[in-house]
Amino acid sequence: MDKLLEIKDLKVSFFTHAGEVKAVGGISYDIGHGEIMGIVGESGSGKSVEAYTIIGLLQSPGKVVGGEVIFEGENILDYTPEQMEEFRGNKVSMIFQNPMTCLNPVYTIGNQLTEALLCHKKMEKKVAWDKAIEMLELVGINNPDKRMKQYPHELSGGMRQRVMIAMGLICDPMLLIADEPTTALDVTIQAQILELIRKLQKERQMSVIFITHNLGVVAEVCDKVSVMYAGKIVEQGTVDDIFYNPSHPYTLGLMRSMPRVDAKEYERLIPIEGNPVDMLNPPEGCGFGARCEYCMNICLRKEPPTIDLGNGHRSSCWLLASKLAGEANHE
Amino acid sequence: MGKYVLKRVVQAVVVLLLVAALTFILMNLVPGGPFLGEKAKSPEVIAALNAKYGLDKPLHIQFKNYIVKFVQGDFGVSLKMQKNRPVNEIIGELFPTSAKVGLLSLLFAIVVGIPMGCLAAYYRGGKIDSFLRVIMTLGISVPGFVIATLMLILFGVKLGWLPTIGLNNPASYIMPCFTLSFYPMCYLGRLARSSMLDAINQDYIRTARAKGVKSSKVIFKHALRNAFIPILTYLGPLTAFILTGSFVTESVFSIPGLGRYFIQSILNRDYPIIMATTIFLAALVIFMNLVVDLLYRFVDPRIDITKGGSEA
Repeated sequence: MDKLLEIKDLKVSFFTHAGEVKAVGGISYDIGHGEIMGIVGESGSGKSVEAYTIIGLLQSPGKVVGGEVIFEGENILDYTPEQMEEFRGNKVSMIFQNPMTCLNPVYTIGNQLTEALLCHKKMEKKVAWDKAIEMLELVGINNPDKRMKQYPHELSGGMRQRVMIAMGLICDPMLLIADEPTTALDVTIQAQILELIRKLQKERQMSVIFITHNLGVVAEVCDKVSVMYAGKIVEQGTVDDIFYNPSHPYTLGLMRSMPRVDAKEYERLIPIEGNPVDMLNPPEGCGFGARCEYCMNICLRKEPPTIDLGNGHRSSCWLLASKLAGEANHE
Repeated sequence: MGKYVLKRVVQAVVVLLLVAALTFILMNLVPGGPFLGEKAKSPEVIAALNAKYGLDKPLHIQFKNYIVKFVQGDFGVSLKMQKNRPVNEIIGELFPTSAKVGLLSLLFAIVVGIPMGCLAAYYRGGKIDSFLRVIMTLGISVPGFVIATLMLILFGVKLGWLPTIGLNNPASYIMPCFTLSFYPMCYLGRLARSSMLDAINQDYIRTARAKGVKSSKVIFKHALRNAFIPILTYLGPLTAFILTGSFVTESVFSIPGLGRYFIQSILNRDYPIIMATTIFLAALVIFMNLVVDLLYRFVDPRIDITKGGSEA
């Protein structure tokens, strides 16, 4: 199989004064070459923590407590800090949510763009500078020569996010992690940025992990989707599986709470009741149990099994388990 | 830019005039005078001396005369400590000595203090941080004369490694410079630590790390420059004060510098020296602040001091 990245039972915890917070509680997925994987979930579901682990940006008190992150056959969790520095920004790179604060205000765009090239590709300054100008053109920035000498505060938010993308792609990474890259931008710019990422991804046959809480974005951009809740992937599958055939109550809830353009006149949005899980004292059984309208006794006692619905569509819910068991009984 | 500097120079002249006036008034309010000594002089002699140096005139006339002469570059002559020697000459002789010790101390404070703060910030909460914080707290809380005395006893007397008096060879600079730099070094360290902690948690640091930049470069290139504004603010006046010497250090190590002389001139009521050294120090502080304000722009391109903002 041509898997680029394989995550096996990854567990990440934060050791705080109040106790261990299991931010990521055993997730597994894989991404092939040129695939776009969307990770959806609400704030605090562990989606960013999981991404930081892949690129080695997890900071104390966060710690990987189990599992493997296999990139091109190598477990990057075994890398030394030096190997990790070489890996980051070179084979995997990341773009972040808030372009207003993610660029260093005291260095020019050119300085920050060429930095990764100078550090990973050992390029000469002049060559790196030209390459950076080329990248700025590629992400659709006019007047790249002038922009290179400007400081971040002289650029608009959309332009800064384009610069971030150029910066992320400048070393030709095989995997790009985009952590809510459009959340801080207004809607028209959002669409442009999404289109840009999509276009560059196709041209370069690059894999992308797209972290977002916006299902609309996922539907537009991604090939596969993982839905995260309380540090676990509750459902994963292709975009079609998730959108046309959602099987986990949480995914269903997300769908219903999303406004639709094609809604018939006046339709109420149905929010998911209740609050996110207290990660310091997670409940027994299914993390979503307390908020789930289909909740059964077993849901509050035992963790649900992961049910394979075929074709890589997997869902962790007792409802499906009992349904499958029921079907089996009938036969 | 030129216009801005001109404006600041005009402001500086006004401030200096105020400093001069205030010093003049306070100096004359303090009881005693330059001609009182152990041997009581007769009232006639004192009156004659006062008349000779113009001290018999009303204060505002005295002040006017002083300023007129000052503008012409004549700072008067010493009345007591080095009788009748021009003040320009005295400062010209003493300032270089203080400045030499001061410059070395300043360099030491910067070169050790700032990296110390960065290191503490990088290892925040760890053993290195705790250790450095103890040192920095010691540095800003232990007075200079205690450090000077302890060093004298240890290195000067017990071990006999370093000379205890004067500035006759390079080794004799070590103890005075260390004494003088210990406080600013630790203060810089604390400033660097707190502003670095602030900078390290910014999003752009995460971006730099995501690029795979080496962690030393992340700290010293990306974080330090952003953390440098408060450090620079402190460095301005510090430079002025450290270059003009310190009474304690120069007294303990018997260095013929401006800092010690300044205090002695006050004790002796040597009016022209008090005036000249005070104005000199004030001018230096004002100048360094201007330099710092001009340097901000080079550290942080977002700052443009010549535009907008009301004068505080």
